Amino acid sequence: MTATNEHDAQRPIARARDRRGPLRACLPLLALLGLLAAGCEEDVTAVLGTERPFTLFGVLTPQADTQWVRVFPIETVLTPAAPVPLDARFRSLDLAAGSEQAWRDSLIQEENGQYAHVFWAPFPATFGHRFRLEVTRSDGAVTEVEATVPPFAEMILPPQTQTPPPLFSIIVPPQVPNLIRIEITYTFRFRSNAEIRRETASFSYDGRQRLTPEGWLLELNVAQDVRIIREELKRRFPLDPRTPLKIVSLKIRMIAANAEWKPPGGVFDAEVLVQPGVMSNVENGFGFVGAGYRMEEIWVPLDTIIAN
Amino acid sequence: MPRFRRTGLSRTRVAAPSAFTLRPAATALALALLCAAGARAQTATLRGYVIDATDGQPLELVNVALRDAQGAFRGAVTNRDGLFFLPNLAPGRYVLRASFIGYRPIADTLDLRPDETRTLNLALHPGDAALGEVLVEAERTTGAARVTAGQQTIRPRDIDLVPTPDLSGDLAGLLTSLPGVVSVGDRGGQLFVRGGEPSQNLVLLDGILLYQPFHILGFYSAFPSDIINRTDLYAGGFGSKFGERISSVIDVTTRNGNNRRFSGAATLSPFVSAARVEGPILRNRLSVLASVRESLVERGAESLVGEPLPFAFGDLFVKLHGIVSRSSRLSAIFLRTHDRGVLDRDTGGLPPDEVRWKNVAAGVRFLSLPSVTPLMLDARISFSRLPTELGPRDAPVRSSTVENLHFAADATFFGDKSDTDLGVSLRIVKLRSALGGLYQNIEARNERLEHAAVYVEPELHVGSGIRIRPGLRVQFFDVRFDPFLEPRLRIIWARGPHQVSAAAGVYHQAVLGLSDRRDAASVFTAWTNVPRPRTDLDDVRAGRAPRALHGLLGYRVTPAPWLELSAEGFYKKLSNLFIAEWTAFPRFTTNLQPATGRSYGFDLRAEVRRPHFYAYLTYGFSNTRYEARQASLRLWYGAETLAFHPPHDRRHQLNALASVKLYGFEVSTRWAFGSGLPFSQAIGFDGFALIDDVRSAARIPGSRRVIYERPFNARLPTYHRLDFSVERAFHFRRATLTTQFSLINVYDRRNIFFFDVFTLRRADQLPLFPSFGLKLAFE
Repeated sequence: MTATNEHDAQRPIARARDRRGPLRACLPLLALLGLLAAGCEEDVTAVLGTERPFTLFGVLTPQADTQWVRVFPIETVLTPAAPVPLDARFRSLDLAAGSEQAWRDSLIQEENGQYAHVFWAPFPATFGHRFRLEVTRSDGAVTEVEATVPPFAEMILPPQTQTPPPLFSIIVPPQVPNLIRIEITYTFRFRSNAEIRRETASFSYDGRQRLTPEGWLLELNVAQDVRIIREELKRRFPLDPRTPLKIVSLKIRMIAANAEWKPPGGVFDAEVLVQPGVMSNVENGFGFVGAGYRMEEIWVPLDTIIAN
Repeated sequence: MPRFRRTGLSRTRVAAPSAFTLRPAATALALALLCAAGARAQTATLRGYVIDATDGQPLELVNVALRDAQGAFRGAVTNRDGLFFLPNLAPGRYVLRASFIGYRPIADTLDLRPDETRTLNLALHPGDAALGEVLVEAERTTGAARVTAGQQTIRPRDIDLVPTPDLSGDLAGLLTSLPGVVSVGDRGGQLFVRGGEPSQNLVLLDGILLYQPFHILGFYSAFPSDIINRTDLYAGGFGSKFGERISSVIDVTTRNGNNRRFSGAATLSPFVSAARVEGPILRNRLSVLASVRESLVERGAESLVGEPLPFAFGDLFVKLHGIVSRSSRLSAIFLRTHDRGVLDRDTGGLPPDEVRWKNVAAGVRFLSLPSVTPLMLDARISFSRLPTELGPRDAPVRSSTVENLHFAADATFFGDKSDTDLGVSLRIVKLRSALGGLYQNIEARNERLEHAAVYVEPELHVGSGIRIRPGLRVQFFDVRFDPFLEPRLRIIWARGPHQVSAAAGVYHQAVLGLSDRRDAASVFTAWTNVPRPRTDLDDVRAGRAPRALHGLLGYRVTPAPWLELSAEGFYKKLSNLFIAEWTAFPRFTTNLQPATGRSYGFDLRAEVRRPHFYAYLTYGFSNTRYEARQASLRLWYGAETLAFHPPHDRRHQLNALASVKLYGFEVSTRWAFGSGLPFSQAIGFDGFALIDDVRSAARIPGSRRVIYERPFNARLPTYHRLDFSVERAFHFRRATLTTQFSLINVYDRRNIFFFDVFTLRRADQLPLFPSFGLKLAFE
């Protein structure tokens, strides 16, 4: 049995509904049993509560003039967020520069109509700087997170040689701590039924990078990718096997990310990441704040390379 | 006076005790058949049906004894069809005596010729013994403490002792009072037997498979006591005759209609109105029994209960029974039920989800005693169908339909020392479901499945009061070519007041009932089948039918004629289960994950039966645990598997019932206690946004999230309830009027039905309410 005290009273405890059967009042004999039952009454403590005040989600990036972070209060009831100010004071510290920035709340409405709080501050996150974000509730409870923006870096594309290697190497300087969302998009042309078509095909290279003394090495297997593309085209179009496939360009995209931005197995699966504590860097709270920037290059290999 | 074994069609020769030695089970069938066939060349066979002369009902457990000129006895006991069988009799003169307590015995002299197979049907007349004493003795074959290797037989009289809100009497009221049977609440119609899920129970009505025979209000099922002859509940360790389910068997056998004269009854209460009529269509040859019930809950009981009861249900049952010849019986039954209701009315402004289901079942049974061999043939063809819907009536959110056409033939071969049951079964199952996002990795589909089975199960009497029933069921499911082999074993040792029984077996199930057990208010069950293996998909579920291994051991003692005590322990190992995958998203649409499980426990029972007083006390302990396997579990909890107690793991159950007859009144009271059921306690609620790209957090869609500690880490409050009823019968010339007053939940206990952790809404079971009932029976 749960004794109800003042502390418990703050918990979300389901209350009895007032239901009175018509016979209840006219059977005094049952009163004794009723007292007995009341003595055994037990409420349900469905939510334990936590001292952690907030959950944060967002990304710091030097590629935007304004930084945005979602702030969810950790509550003891699952109710839609009300369009009212959040009891939170948000500031960021640039630990490298020693500067402080106050963030402002903005209330947004999701597509499903729910309200959400997104805090923002008008500054670009500096390359290579470490930032601390602190969200403080009026009672002093603080949720904080630190994230380091990766230093500026650029991809080194494969050289345009006449004698192609079996794999084309892309190098990213080693000071970038982590690469995610690596994607290669081929743009190509081909002939089908006397018509020249232009299509694109994307391949994920997540997890295929490795760190070498020269930096992050990503090896493009163009020959294998083209084989896959041809197989796919054969399924979709009447294609003469002798018809050449003209690679127009390769778009190479990836995110230079901070070290913590690393989902389990390299896969961003919401069903996995939704569990609190998975890919989390927030202290005294839940959530994840990443830091990084997009890298994108277009590589146009020589026709002879593709032909070979 | 000879002694007879009191179950089945077993025989004994008292004057010349046998020194039979146990042979391997595999040869028993062949021996039985060969012996029986060979013996027929020189011997005679006596067989027949025994009925009650007043209404034509078959009489079970009647002693039929033959005494030859040397004074040696041969005897048999009638089975549930009133059938006895005495093969391999030496030709000659016998004195026959048929006796059954409460009935006047019959004695006659028979001359049996060589090779003669004589069918002798007997009709017994009720005797002059005091009715109360007769009942005490006659009903000793059933009772709250009479459990034999997981099997408990329930008679209508047992059902009527349980206080319910009306006088129609229903099997559901009694089942929920048994140890090891867990109901999550007084609505929903879901029964969990010794750790098993509702869809893992095999519910049979005269051999017809029913998928959801329990009504939405927990007091009622498709089985009013008026139509029941007997019910056998096998809480585990059931024999080879039963298959395709892995938890339990509820085998309901219905009465035949009175084939001598018309009789009937009408019942009225604020909960249901019911009517039963039966009588001869062709006197002594063809009878009809019809029963119809319709709920009055929304109109009658809401004012008594003091809260909305948005439930409606009803059932219609018709049975025709015909005597085709001296040795053959033909029966046909039809059942139709309907249920609709809203279990969770308070949905925060959203339209509540109404759940609806209907059972339609029909079957024909032909019981015959062929003259060429000493066997009983029981052939059945049946059909049943269950459509279930959730959501608005014109646009259901989810729907599932399961139907089956079943052909079965069971035969019993009678030998001197053993009987052998064997049978074949073919079931054609059709499944159709549209799940509307529920169970995302189970595709909505239409399926047609063929399931076949053969089984053999001899009963061997090895002397010293030991009976052994080894069995083998070979089950063919279409998820794979190889059959599923299911060995079974039941052993009973009985001597004097003591009985020790044990059972074990392997069970498989290919048609699955999928329910999201995280949502107690959801009784929607989607019926699907085990995925077939595919070469293009590596599906860990493919071809793996849920499997259970049962083992149980029990002891029963009858220290006095009025007292019986029993204890039984059980263990069930479950594998290849599918349960809802865990997620922190606050939703009930989810993936399914494979799981294993185990359940163990024990029951303790005591029953007191006096002419004017009846009482029982039962205690059940059980511990059920599942282990789920999910790829994310290592990330979430640091382990490959997640062990938890599912929401039907009721650890302790106590049931006490007392019934006393005083000055023409029959007063019954029942108190039930159950320890709390598991639920998942939350730490809090926040939100979630998938950070998988460099973009503004304002443009990332967010969703709400529940922060759980671990699944099912807490327990709901205990359940206990006291029910009370008092009845008085007034007898008139050809009619009996029975009145009843009942109080359900006498001390108004707030028993929780379910708790929605997301919204903190609590739904309680029914509060204190009174009810009045009338029953008018005529003959």
